[in-house]
Amino acid sequence: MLGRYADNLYWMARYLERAENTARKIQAGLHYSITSKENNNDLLKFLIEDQDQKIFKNKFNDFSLHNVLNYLINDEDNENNIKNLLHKARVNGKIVRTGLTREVSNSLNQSWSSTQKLLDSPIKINNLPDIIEKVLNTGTVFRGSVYGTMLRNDTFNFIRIGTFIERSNNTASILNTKYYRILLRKTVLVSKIDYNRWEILLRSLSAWRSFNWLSGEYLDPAAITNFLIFDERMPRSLSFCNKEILSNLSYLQKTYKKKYQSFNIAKKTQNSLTSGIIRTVHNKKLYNFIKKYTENNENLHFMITRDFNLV
Amino acid sequence: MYDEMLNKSGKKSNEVYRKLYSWLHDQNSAVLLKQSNKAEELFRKVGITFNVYEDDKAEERLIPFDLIPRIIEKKEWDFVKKGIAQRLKALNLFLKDIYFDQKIIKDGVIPSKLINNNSAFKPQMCGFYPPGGIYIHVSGVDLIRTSKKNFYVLEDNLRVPSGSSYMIENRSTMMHMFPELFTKYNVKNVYDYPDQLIKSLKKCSGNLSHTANLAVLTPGIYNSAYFEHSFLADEMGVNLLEWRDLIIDNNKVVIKTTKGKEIIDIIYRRIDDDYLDPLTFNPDSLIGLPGLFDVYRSGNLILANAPGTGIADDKAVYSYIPEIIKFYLAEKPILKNVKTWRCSEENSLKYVLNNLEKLVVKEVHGSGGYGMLIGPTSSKSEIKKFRKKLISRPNNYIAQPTIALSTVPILTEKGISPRHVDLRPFALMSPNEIHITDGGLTRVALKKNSLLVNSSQGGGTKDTWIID
Repeated sequence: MLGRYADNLYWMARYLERAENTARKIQAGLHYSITSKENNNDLLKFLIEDQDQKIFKNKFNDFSLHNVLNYLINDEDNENNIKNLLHKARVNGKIVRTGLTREVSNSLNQSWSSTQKLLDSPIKINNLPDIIEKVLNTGTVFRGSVYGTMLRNDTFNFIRIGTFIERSNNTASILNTKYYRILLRKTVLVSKIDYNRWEILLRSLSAWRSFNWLSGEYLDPAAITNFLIFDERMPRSLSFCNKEILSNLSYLQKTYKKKYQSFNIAKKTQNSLTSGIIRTVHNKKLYNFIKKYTENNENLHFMITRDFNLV
Repeated sequence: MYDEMLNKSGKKSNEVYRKLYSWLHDQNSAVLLKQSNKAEELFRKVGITFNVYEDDKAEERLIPFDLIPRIIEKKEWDFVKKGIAQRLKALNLFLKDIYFDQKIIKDGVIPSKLINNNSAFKPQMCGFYPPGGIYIHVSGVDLIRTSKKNFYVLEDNLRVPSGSSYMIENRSTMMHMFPELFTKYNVKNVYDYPDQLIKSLKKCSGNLSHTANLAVLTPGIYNSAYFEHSFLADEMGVNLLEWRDLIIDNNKVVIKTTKGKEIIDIIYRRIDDDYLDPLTFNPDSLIGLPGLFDVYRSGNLILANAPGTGIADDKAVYSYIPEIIKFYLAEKPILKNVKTWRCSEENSLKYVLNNLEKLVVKEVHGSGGYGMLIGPTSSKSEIKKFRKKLISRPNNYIAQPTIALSTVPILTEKGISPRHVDLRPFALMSPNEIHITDGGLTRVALKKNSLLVNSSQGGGTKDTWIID
């Protein structure tokens, strides 16, 4: 496969996953704003990535739902707004059209034509459920058609690697937010407010229900952390994502009959995710763990680019 | 005016359309219109779009699709095929001649300045014999019809003609929407076009033919025909490349793949000559691969079509085609040529200027319906403006009589109504064969009485059925 193709496949999957992750964050924020009596817009702050906080503050006075969602959906100063991400995913998809099944490329075209009007500014809160549903649906149909119709060849591998690198990046960055770490300082949940905060965090990873299902009503911070990092049943946990990355890299090694540095990096990460279950999560220890993980993920991205001639 | 479905009385259908005609009468027109919207949605879903350039802005549009098929009998079609094959054979010989001995000029059949002063003539090709002797690997000759038996060639399109993907997608759409219609007629298959294309290109590479590595070269996703480029690459199962993918390594063209480097032997390029290699062609070009032409001339690469074919479909050369066929094949042309006045000649220019309101005037190097004048449908001020352009650069224009293209039925909001059409069949040339797919692209002027079928000018397309 042409190296540039692999790059387009990889980024198509990453941008779509990123759009979907953003939509989940908005969904969690919306849920929180509607249901919570707490009048604290600052809680919506964590929906904006740390590195974007400055850009946001320059533009908006406060973290109101309206401001946050406009920023995330179609603000032109935010390069990673949903509209832009869907556009970039489609452009990448258009370039590699020849490598995709008709079902997969249809899913990209359809999402594009069905969301374009909705995503034109300004965003109304009433339109939000529709937007979120369409974006989440795009991701689901895309992954479903990839999984159900594509040959299990290198094309498939690069798409899957893109999806899971992006997804694990997202989970890691949520684990790394200040909010998450502040919440961890308290070992016992003291108030309804804390409860709300954990809820919004878990909801942004679509993990609220599954966590409750697995551990009952009790929101223990260490349990949540273990769940998001180590639980292989949870499709957004670091462990789950890395396992997928590793298996796709291993397939590429077999197909191309070569050994790759990127495989070694993913393998090392996988070891760290299966051996050292964190029983009690101290702020510092978690911080270091996530920092290391994020660095490894960046390194992995770089190595994949080099190993397979991605542009 | 010749209608392909209805006879002269306008009340009865011609034999070949009879079953379709009665089927159309049985349909509820509201249901048909609904189907028409469904077809549009299908095209959008698949992403069959093209880009239109207006005021520096590119916009993605659908080519309107009309769902009434156009039917052509096999007997008439065989005649057309014979005519196209004859024309292409002569034009390939013509190209070889003008890039070697220029016998046709020496014998006084065509004037030297028509070739040697023409920007479509590429002196870089002189003395180089392309692999297999083929210049025109792919062509899309535009035909119009004025009666049951009379077909005229309007343009030869020997550079990088588009439309084959629409020929195939239109068929897929029709089969998806009206499967029962296909049980009424024995329609010839068009799906083998990509397979024939790959076979035909590989046949030019001699010993290499089985292992030859083929790729399609596109200017990129913003090109108006990008859908087609990716469609053909996909159907042929080959790489779709852009300039940035190509490297010259050891006098070969190489790409970087996920596994390592790979040599490319045949490039089906969908890019104009001038942008191929800035060292050889247009030095101002920002795209292209410096040194590509050297690889080509050393025989390590096949380019399809060969550079320099544009001289053979030049609109001024067009008027000489009957003589060209006679000169190389000693045959009478099977397909007619439209009478053409070369405005570079004083007498012709005079005639054209006196009759602008009756004529169609085209730019010699124009395409896509841009920059032309259709006298009968233009206003006085449009004609006046055009007259000035024509006087200031007469060499740049040719003129032709306005020909009443045949009409076929289309579906409109108000029911079924006739519209003008042309026809572009696709021909593939390899060393011992000219293969013409049994079908083609029918372009239809959607506006009543309009003669402009170009998609950039509001034209649409139809599925074209060749029936046994």
